[in-house]
Parts: sequence; structure tokens; C-alpha cells
Amino acid sequence: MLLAGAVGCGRARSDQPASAPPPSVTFNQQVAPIVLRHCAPCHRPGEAGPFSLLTYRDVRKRADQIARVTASRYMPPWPPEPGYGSFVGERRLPDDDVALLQRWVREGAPEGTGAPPSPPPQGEGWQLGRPDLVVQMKETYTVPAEGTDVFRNFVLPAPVKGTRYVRALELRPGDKRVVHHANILLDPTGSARRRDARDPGPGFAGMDVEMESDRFEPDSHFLFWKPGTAAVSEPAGMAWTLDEGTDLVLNMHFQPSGKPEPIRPEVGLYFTDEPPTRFPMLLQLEHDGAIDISPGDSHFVIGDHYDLPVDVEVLGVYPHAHYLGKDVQGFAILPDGTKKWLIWIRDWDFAWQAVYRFARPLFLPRGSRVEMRIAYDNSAGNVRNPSDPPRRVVAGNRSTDEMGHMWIQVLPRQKEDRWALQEAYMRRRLEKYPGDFVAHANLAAVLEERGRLEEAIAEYRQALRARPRSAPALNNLGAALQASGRLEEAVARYRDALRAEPDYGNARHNLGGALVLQGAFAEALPFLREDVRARPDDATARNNLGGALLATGHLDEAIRELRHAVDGEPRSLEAHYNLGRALAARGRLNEALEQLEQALRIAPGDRDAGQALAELKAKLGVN
Amino acid sequence: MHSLPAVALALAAVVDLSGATVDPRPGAGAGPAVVVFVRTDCPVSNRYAPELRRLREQFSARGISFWLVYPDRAETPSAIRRHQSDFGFGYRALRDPQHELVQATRATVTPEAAVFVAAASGPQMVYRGRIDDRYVDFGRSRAAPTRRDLREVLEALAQGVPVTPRTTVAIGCSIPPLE
Repeated sequence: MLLAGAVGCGRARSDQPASAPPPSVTFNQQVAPIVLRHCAPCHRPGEAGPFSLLTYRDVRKRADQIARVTASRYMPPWPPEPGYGSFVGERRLPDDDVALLQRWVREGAPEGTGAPPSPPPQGEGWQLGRPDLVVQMKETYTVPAEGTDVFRNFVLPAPVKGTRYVRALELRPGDKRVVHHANILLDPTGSARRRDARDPGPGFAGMDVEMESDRFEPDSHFLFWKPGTAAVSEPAGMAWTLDEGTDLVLNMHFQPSGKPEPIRPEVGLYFTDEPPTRFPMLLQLEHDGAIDISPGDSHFVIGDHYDLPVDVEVLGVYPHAHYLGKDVQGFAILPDGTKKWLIWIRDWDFAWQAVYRFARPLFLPRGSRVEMRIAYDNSAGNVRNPSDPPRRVVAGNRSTDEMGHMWIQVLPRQKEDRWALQEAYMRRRLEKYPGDFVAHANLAAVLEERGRLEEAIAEYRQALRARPRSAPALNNLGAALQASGRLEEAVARYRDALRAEPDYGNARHNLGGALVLQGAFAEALPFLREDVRARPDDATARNNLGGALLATGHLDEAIRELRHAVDGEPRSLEAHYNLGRALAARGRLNEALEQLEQALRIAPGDRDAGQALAELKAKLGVN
Repeated sequence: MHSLPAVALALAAVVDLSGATVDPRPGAGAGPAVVVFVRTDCPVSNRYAPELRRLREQFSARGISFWLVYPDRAETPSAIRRHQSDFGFGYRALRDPQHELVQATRATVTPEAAVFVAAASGPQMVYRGRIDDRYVDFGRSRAAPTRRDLREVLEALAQGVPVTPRTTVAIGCSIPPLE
């Protein structure tokens, strides 16, 4: 029976045309939806893909190649291993779709009947609509026609007044076929601008760029661009802060195309009036100090870990290594021992590095350990090895150097938790790098922020042991000393900072202010005047100068400065008080009255202002 | 070269940008000829433009002729002229809408090079394949090539050294089949 059945079955099949495949896979029915969804976002005019994949003709022409690169998973580019973290905008092609494409090509890539779905409409111009502010590079940079990849950093001053809250940023990088990815960093200190000035041509070279900062304002947002991703708006309540005087630094990766390519990126900023209510923070796992890879070593591993001092939600992850990177892992071990994956990239490819945002925030309770492990291949077998023959490789920001970083964006329950995160982060850094300047200086800043002045002062002193002439550290030590009531020592440190860096504005500002407090008005004047020249819109600088001018009898100049001060900061008690006194001294009693009354409206119980007002009223004969 | 009988076939439909029929392969007594298959929109062949230009500058004075062949019939003469001026190859450009040269060389991707020399029996193909080994696979390339195959062949020919016919595997954009 069995045999007969089998034969019968065979016969039944052979009744049909032997070569006829089952209902065929066609472009119009099955293939177009896959291609339009997964390929067309980049493979369309104006986007990064070198050719379009929108119509049957487009796709038919490339059918063999599409079958090949999807099977090898070169396209669509999506390096993370499935099942080890779930991300927004996942581009990985499902296995079924890969199989379908293979079958379609094998069967002759038929078009089929019916109409294919139409490509999604392509937005013109800015994806997020007209930006509130567009910042464009002043000059054009030309990517050379050939050679290895180009890494360049461009400084774009952001012309904002005061503080703005940014709800979205969109980068239009120029020809997307040449720009491979871009990071946008914020530089409040002008340090990138100074590097730019030292490097000929637009921008300055370097694969990685780190910003100097002399206060506790942790990086909080990933500002990253890669081809084919939609511009993102920050979640509600998570706008980031852009202060006047801040530069945007574009850290860009270009791939030469065969001809010189002029590039002039522009950044669109979208503001909101809503100040942020949720404060994420970027933490960096790294162990660059451990990178020392012998030539020929095909499996060199570094790792780092960080113990969370508070509950957080992980919002995103950004792994980073250069050309020797091979296997990149990020995961968390919860207090109960459970392992939760953040990301695993088994075949690291520098060219496709990206920021990955979690589809759902990943909750990690306090006490969880976040870990990274990165393996490198410095053998000749790694075709991406930039050195031939391989050579010893240490950390650095040239393409022949290596790095091992994993940034994670965490959202703690409350703003103040960031201090605990930062403190733990810097203490971990000191475990890795005892005596490290950056760690001591940042630890000091966060301790100062948390009101632990004596500990902060001790940490600043440690930082200065590593870099005795660091103007920011000297200045910050001064500020901490001043805050703890040691004005004389503070003045000495501000002077040290200015000796180390005569143009250092923060130290000049602080020294001027401290000398005023000491009553050394005449001595303070030159610092205060220079301070106002450097930051004409800073109301505090104007007020300090006005106060010193008043004290030294320069009444007209004092009134001018103090007018600026009250205009710039209408809620400043001191500015109104000083202006009132200056006007009174000049005999402009009615105007003085107005200012002193305003001062008392701001601070009803202020004794100095009350006394000055009483004296003035006595003089005017009013009450 | 028995394995490549198609080489001997006459080319009837290989044309230059004015539409005139051209056979880039050397006739008796002529110097070697290099043909390189390219597309206007293939990023891999475009990235080779500077190297291809250098090869021409270096070897055309030594009796070797250089041709670019566009095998996609959809690429128009005007698009090809624009491509030539954008990338500055400085090669004479041919179109191969019937894939006669594709079949004669068995090229499969862009960029892929073929080198012909004149022989008593007609033009003989002595090399077909990659320009160099910079590309190892899609998405896998070296910072710099370790083997410059095409250049090696041209050096030998320029010096009059006999070349043993050989082929290599080229990495690039598939040449689409004729529709």
C-alpha cells in the first residue's frame, strides 16, 4: 500500500508540467514591498545609495547582485545580531524575505501582473519641516578623489542668544554618497575652534574628538547621522540645552568617490520653549588605556564595566572601534545575576557604526553592572587592517590607531541622580587610570555641585597634581575655595589660572568679581573691563564692572554699564541696587528712586536696598 | 586560449559615443589594448578613476591603448560624456549594448579589465579580472592594495616580456544580463 501510494503520488505530480514552479514569486506581488521598505530609503535619487531601486527595471537590472548581497547580509546594512537587543529603525531583512529574493532571482525575476506598490513619497528639503535656525559651514571642504577614508571635524558657531532648548536637530551633510556618518558634538569652551585654527584648511583632522569642559554639564544626547535614517525629534520633556557661545562640532567620516567632492554641511535646529523635565546622560564604557595589540594578534580583548548607583532606563547605545574591531558586546548583569543584552555585533565594520536606540527603554535597577567587551584582529588576515604588514597598535584617533568605546544613554529617575552617576563614573575611571586629570577634575566638579566643597577642593588639588598649569582646574579650585569662604586663596588661584592662560575668560571674570568682593575696586577694573569686552551680553560682568566703577567714582560709565546689566537681567537685585546708588550719586534722584524700589520688589526684605531707599527718600523729602 | 573562442568573434555592435562601430582589440602589428568595464553609477568602478587615469598616463606613451566599456544599454552617450568629464578618466569610451565585448571577455562586474595583444591568429586576451586586490568582497576592502594585477601585466607588456594568459576574480557591480 505504501509503495503504491508513493507511486500514485509521483504520477499525480508528473501529470502537471514537471518544471512549473509553485505559484511564482513576482516583483509586483512580493518583491516590491520588500525592496521599497528595506532598500529604497537609501536607494533613491538624492540619498546615499549609488543607484535607485524603485521600479521593476531598476531591480531587475541588479537582481543577481541583490540576491548576493542580501544573502551575505551586506545589504541592507544592519550589524547587530538579532535577538541581542531590539532597536528603533531595524533594517535587518527577515530570513523569509532573503529566501524570497533568492527564489525570485532563481526563477528569472519575473515582473508579475497587477500594479506594484508605489514608492513612499520622498520629502523635499528638511525632513522635519523648516528649522528655526539653520547653521551652515562657512567654507566648502573638498573630499579628495581617492585615498583612504577621510575623518574631519568642522566647527559651526551656533548664533543663539541666551539659552535655547533644542527638541530636534537635523543634519544635511552634503552629498550622501560621500558622507558615511557624522557625530555632532557641543563645544561650550571654544577648544575645537582653537584646534581648527591650528590646522590648515576647513576643519581639522581626527577620527574622534573630545570636548573640554570645565563644569558639570554631562553630555546627554546622541546627535548622530548616518545615511538612510529619519531625523529624530527628542522625546517629550527631553529637549537639550544650547547656550549662547556654544559651537557645534561636526565629526565626519567621508569615503572618497573617485572625484573631488565639495562638501558644505548644514544643521537645522528646532527649538521649543519647554525646558527639559527629563535629563538623560551619556556614560562611556571604554578601556583605551588597555589597548596595546601586537602585530599578528588576531584576538585581543578589552573590557570595561560600570556599576549603576541608581535606577536607570537605557535609551540607546553607540559602540565604537576602528578597523581592527572584530566582535563587540554590550550587556548588563542585574543584581539577581540575570544577563540582559544591550547589543552584540559579531562582525564589526567601522563603516557601518551607528547609534542604536532601543525600541523600548531597558530598565536596569540600581546595582546592575553594565559591561562591554571588544575583541580586535590585528593580523594580516583582517583585510581591513590599515597597516600592511600589521604593526603594534595602541589607542589614538588616527585611523591606524584603535579605540574601544561603548556609549550608553541612560535616563535616571530624577535630574539629581546624574550626579551620583557621574560620581560613580569618575571613581570607576580612577580605578582604571589612577591619578587621571580628567577623572579628578570631573569628580571635583560633581562633588562641588553636590555641595561637598571640601572633597571637591581635595579632588581639584589631585587634578592639579597631574596638570599643575591647567587653567580650568586652577579657576575651578578658586571658585570652590571662594564658595567655602576662602576668598584670599581663591584670588591667588584665579591669578595662577591667568598666568597659565592669560586669555582664559572664566578666570578673568572670577578674579574681577573676587577683587570687587575684597573691596579692591581699582585693581579689579582692568579685569572687569576686559570681561565685558569678551562677553558684552553677560549681565553679571556688566554689573561687576558697574559696581566697581561706582565705587571708584566713575559715575557716568557706571550708570551706562548698570543699565546694560538691568536690561540683560531685569530680575537682578544687585544690578538695580547698584544702578539706584549710581543714579543717586549723580543727583538723578527720581530715577534712583525707581531703581531702588524695583530692587525691593525683587527682594522685599533686602536691608541694603531698604536703607538706600530710606536715605534717598529722606533726601527727596518723601516717604 | 581555446577556452575563449568567442574572442575571435567580430564585433558588430560595439560603438563609440557617436555611434560608429569600433573594435578596441589590436589588429596585426598594433600595441596592446586595455578595456575596462564600468558603469556611471557603480561606486566601485568610480573609486578606481584616479588609478585608471594614472595607468593611462603611464602606459599610453608606451604603445598601449585604453578604453572604457559601458555594458548597460540604458546608459546614454550624454550620461557617459558627463561621467567622463566628472571623473576625468581620459579614456576613449565605448558602449556595448549587445554585450559582445562582455561575452568575448566573460567579464561579469564593473570594474573589470581585459588586456588584449595582437597575435598571428587575431587578438589574444592575456588578462581578465580585477585592477588590484583592494576590494575583497562587498563591504570588505583594504586601505591599500597589496597586489596590482593590471599594472603588473602592463609593466610586463611595456617591457616586451611575454605574458602568460591569466584571469582573476573582480569585485564590483554585477553587469546586468541583456533583457
